[in-house]
Amino acid sequence: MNTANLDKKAAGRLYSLTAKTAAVILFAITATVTALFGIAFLYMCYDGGFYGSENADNAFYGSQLCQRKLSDSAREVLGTIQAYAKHEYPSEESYFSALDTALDRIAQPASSVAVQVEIAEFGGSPLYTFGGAPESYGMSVRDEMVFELELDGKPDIPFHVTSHVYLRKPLSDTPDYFLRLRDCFSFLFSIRYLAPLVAALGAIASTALFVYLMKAAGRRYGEEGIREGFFDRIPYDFLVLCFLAAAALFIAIVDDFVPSFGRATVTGYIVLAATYFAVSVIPLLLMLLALAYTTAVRIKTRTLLQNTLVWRLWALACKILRKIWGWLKSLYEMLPATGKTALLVLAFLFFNPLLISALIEANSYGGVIDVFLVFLMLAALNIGAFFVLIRAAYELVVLRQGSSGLAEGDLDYKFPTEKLHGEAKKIAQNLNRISDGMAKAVEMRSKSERMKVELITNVSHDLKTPLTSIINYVDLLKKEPMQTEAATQYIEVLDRQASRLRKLTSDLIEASKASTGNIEVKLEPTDICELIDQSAAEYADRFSAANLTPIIRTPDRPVVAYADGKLLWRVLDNLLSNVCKYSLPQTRVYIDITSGDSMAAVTIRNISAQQLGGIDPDELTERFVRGDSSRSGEGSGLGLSIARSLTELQGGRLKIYIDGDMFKVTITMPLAMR
Amino acid sequence: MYTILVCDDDVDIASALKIYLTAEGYNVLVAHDGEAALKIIASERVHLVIMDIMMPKLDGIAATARLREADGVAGGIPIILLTAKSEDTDIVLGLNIGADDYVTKPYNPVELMARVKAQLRRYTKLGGATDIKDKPGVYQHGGILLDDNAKTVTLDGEQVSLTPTEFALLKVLIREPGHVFSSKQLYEAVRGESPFGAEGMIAVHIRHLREKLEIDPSNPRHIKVVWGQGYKLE
Repeated sequence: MNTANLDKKAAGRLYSLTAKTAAVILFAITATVTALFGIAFLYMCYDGGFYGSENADNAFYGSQLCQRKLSDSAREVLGTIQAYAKHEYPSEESYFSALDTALDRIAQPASSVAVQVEIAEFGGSPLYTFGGAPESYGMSVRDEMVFELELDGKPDIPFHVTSHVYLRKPLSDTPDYFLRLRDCFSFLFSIRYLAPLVAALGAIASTALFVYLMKAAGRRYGEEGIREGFFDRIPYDFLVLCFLAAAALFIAIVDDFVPSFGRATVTGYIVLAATYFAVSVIPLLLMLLALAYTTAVRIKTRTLLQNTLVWRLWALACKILRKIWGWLKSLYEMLPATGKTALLVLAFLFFNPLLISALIEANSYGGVIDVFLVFLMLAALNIGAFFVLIRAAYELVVLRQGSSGLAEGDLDYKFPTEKLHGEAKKIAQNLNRISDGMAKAVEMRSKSERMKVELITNVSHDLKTPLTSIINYVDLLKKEPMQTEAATQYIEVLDRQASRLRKLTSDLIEASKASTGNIEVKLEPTDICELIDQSAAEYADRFSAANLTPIIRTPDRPVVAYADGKLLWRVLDNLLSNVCKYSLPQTRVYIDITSGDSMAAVTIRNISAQQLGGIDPDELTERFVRGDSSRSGEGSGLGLSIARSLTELQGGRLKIYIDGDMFKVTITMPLAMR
Repeated sequence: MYTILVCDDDVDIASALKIYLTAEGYNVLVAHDGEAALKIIASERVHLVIMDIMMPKLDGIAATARLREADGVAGGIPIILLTAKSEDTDIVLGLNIGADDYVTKPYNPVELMARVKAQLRRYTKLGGATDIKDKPGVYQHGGILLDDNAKTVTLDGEQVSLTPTEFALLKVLIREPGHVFSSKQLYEAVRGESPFGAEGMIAVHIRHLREKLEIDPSNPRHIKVVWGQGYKLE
């Protein structure tokens, strides 16, 4: 058999209903026993004599109960004497005889109490005696008194009385109070050592059972953990109130049931005590136990406070208030910003004077507390208003600073929207979205720039490779002997077109590089005259081949401009190449260099072989536009466009003027300041 | 009989080159990437390499660098870079790494052949060594040898005939390779007096010089124009 299971079962059984019920019953018994014996023990400690005496009799005669009862008897005697003294007897003798009768009645020979009375005149000799001391007595009480005898028609006579009341020892057999008391005392005396022992054991047992019950609270057989029972779900405060009501009821019963030291015997007394306990104390005890049990369960499940009516009402009230607050807030949010501000200002203007007048009133009529409370509210209102204003101003500053950062290009700045409120928060959120959008746009732009550059490089490479093969093999073909005349012509065409394609490709690449600014520009002081000389020298042969005469005019002083020499040469290369291609033969080409206040200028003038008039000069610098679009020649139409792009990359300007058939190009570059 | 290694990842271009070179009488070996090229150079006696730049596995620039790192014969083989990348930076990089010359695609086959010839001449005749240093009156730079005593100029071993002005110009330039001379300075150096506006003729002379010395005068390798500043010998 599985021992673990057995243990578990044993452990589980510990908390079963039968176990708990048994515990409750046992607890009731032990508690009662402890209570009874404990009370007996406490009494025995209190009313001395039990633990010092040798026998019950000594304890009895020395007890306070005894003494008290005896004193009662003594008082009764004195009371009788005094009462009779007021009857207005005709004489002392009649009084004394009456007193005899009365005292006889009190002090019966058979009773345990013996009475001795002596009455004397004030300061005189004894006039009357009654009774006497018994042979043996256990206790006596002595009293003295002065009283006045009221005689009929005569003046009152002051008497001094001394009374002794004795408790016989041994007691008489008459079943009176003292006999019963002594019997009880005997009983108690007999258990005087047992009582504390039993009480102690009972206390231990009760405590153990109580602890067990508290531990078992909420646990059930076969279940892990704590589970609330039906009883535990009742609101705690209600339960406590019920308990108090029940307790009051039982105490009332107790009051009614208070056992009088009546005529019962010791056993009868014990039975009475037991009944009394059964009816009041034990139920009360069990109720208390139940209360403790449920408290334990509630503490274990942490529902002690929450499962009270007070708590629930409070929670409900809070919920309702919160809901109302939520409605108010959403209503408030729905207002436009101006509405909100207006509302707040109105509220402020309304409440402030109200509170101030309340303050004045409180000052006149109310107490310190009233004044203080109103003052608190007033302060809160004003401080709150102040705070809101300051916060608004601060948030404006935050917005302003952040937006300056944005304006300057810091697109990474994000407004801390959690720290802002209301309109400022919305503005900040919008600004954040804007900066996000801007950052994305910048990112996309640079990405597309990068892609453009990659495209140019890749395309140029990809175009040139097959182009090289075409040119190579066409060239090789040219060297092979051709079968037919037509074949040779075809190869001519191929050769021409391949060359054209090559020029077009390199122009295209250069144009796109120039227009996207993907050329490295190094601006340096450049001697324009030197540059023109160099360019003219490069084109010297071509000029003569095209039957053109270049005329270069330069000023006396050197002209130094900020330019990239290589790029400027490419511009001139382009322009001069055009001149050679499109000029009317046998004409002159004028190249003039001038310098103004801040700019240097190079002007190239030539006469066009083809008709120019009617063409828009600005159009010519657009891509793929040539002088005569129907002409198929060497040009790709990109030359002027490239030239303009390159000039502008260096910070210069290129302008074309057409006057009749004269074609004029002016390049202006900024002068280099010394 | 010289052996030339052609290295290009495009099969057609490599074949075309082989045809051209074989027609000129050279023995041609072909490789299609940098690693294969280095292997061939290690195993065969190669006199010149025509190397494409954009190649898989090992590109032309890296192969050139590796080749130049090697000692011995292989370290001095002339390399002509053949490239579609015509950016200045690429060309400068190639030359700095150790290439001797470059040709951009699409190229003129005639020009390429001329450059091959020139490089071979330089390689075999001059042996890649400058043992004529510190001889007074003799200046050498990049294949041009100017003997001021004999008033002769040889390019890659072949004699070039220059006019006195051209000779004087070259002398000025070759004495300080890399230094930029303006037209005015050149004029003064050659004529001994200020030009007074006549510097223009210097440009013309330089042009003639280039036509004599350069394989492609428009794309000079030796006498470079520094536009707007002057000229230099590189």
